[in-house]
Amino acid sequence: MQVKEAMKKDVIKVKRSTSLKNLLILFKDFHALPLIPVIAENEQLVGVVSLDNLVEILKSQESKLFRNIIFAEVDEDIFDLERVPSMGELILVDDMMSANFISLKEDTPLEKAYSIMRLHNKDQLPVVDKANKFLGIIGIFDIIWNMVKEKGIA
Amino acid sequence: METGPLLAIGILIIGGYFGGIIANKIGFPKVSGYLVVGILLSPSVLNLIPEMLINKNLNVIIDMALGIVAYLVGGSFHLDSLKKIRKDIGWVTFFEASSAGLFVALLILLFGFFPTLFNGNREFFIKTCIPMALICGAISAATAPAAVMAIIREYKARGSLTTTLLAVIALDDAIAIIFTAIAISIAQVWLGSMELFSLSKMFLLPLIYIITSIIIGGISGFFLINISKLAKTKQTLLVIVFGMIMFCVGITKMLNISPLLAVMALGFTVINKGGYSKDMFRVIDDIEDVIFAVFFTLAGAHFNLEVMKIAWAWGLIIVLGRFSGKFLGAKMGAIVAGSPLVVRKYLGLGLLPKAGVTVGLSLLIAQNPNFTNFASLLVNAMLASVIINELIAPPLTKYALFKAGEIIVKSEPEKL
Amino acid sequence: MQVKEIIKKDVVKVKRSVSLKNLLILFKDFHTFPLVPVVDEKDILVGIVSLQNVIDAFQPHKAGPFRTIAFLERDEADMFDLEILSEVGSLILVDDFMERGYISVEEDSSLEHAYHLMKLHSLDFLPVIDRAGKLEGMIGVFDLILMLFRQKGVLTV
Repeated sequence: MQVKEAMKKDVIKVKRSTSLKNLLILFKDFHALPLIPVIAENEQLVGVVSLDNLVEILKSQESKLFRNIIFAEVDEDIFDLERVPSMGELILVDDMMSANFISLKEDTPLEKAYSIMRLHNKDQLPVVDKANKFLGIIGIFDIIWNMVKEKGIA
Repeated sequence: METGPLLAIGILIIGGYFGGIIANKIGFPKVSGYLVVGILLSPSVLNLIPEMLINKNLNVIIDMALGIVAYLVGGSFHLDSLKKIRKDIGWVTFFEASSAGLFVALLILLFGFFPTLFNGNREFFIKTCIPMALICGAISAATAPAAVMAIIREYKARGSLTTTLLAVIALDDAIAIIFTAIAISIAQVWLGSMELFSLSKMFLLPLIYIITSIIIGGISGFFLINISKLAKTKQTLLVIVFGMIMFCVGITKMLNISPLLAVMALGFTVINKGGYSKDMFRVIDDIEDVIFAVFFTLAGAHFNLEVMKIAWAWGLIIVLGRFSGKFLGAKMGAIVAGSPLVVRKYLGLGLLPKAGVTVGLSLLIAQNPNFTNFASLLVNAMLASVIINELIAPPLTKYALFKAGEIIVKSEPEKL
Repeated sequence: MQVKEIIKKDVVKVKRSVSLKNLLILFKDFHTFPLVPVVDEKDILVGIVSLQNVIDAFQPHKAGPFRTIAFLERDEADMFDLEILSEVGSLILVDDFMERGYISVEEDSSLEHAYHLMKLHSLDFLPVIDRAGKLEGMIGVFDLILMLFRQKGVLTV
């Protein structure tokens, strides 16, 4: 079975120019933030926004700069940062999305998709076609559910 | 009955753990806590760790830790983010790092040359002072991010000085590592070719060492990227990443060239050519703390009271040279780069703290068989300079930020 | 601010006697598997089920007494190749594979404390209990983030 048969197609997408505020409004009633695909013209997938990216915003400028520096002892206090209401308009999806991300091709077998997700510790990944056009999101439980169904367990 | 290596490692880690926690509690970086605990455990104080272990049997830990440091530093050089570095930051960093090195080297040469006027002992000058000046100079480029960060965070400093300061420190350690790797290569050739001295050999041979190291690291990097695709879990990924780091360190040590540069090149290749390769650094993050705890506590245990009686003066010289070099170099760089006035005036004072990388690199020198005749002197001089530094540098950083008007005095009343 | 102020009360919870099959059906429309609290008759929290627990449930060598043996091959057997009898779904109960040594927060803990715990154990959710151990709801990192943005006026609705 291939990824495209198990993925979810109807997902909320955002653009690079979407502001932080508008993104939050889209998801304000969610209890868990799903993986959000960032789409350019022609439905091209250019990035993803995950919970980690939002946590990043709440961290101070220094700790971002020092993420890769050794012995910096960055303590990640997200409660301390002084935030101003205007950051909701000032920060755009383009500033916070991960542009370097993993995606799956639509014809990836589910087995392969599962092992990629386990290796990178991801529970959701975006699915694209050959031309990098966004098609949907596959969650790890989608795969497990499919396997379970195939084996006749449920 | 004798303390074996594993018991020693256990004592070092448990002791270091408490040292780190106490240091954090009283506002010092963890590294300072590790060092102090190490000094307490050293043969000169509590004598809990036998000298034999400290100077010889535990050397493998030093290579391991430095290998990991170099890998992570190499991995922080993501080309995309390097392109984003502002030009003025580049200038300032270049000036302050190289002038700190130059000042320290010159002062050590002067300090070492002085006695030869009276006793004519030129051998000491040639075999100890010159290589020491080179290496100490290179190491002195480093700045400790932890101490500066702690101050900025505590006082909520903000402004152009703060931003510049943070950006410069972020580059400093990498520069210090590169400088040191080059200095080691030159010093090795210098000590090895006392008889047939020629200028071309002086520079050509180190250059060959350096290039070979980088090539080895680069090739290992491509190899690692490809074989890591076989790993199916994070745990197996760690196996191969760690294995490759050790392989790189080992093979360059065997060839007597530079492990630091090789492993930096390894990290650099992985982050830039490995596609989605963040995980290949994240897995190392999971184990680095324990290795660093034993490493820095071990560093502190190199403390030797006898050697310290001479070394403290060298330590003082290093601090003096580094302070004046950083201060003037930062000023010059800021003028060249056209930075704002506050940056020109106060940046140098902010760059004085040092700790982790400094100690790490000096231990690396100490266990290099080419440098045995001044190993203990160098480590203790560096330890002394770090301790002196730890006491006076953070207040100076605070002073600089305060004078620049980037620390706002709290006007709100104390909470009751 | 306390955990109870942003807690989500309306959560899916299960009893120990629920079968694996029924548990899976409960979440069939979810794409990711949330952290599921397991409660007894009096609503006292007795365990949690995470995705990992569900995966382990399919792998007999990882369930039960073998779970804690060191050096036992930790790599997962390929789930797709496992021969699983279709009756397994009804035979295995939540009680067999749930996590008994779980982490939870009390409803009057501070948000900082809850975040610290989630960070330390890399969890996105925590079950919230009252003094008596009764399940009150769940708290997630995203709830916390929304609250922080609301507090600063970034999000006003």
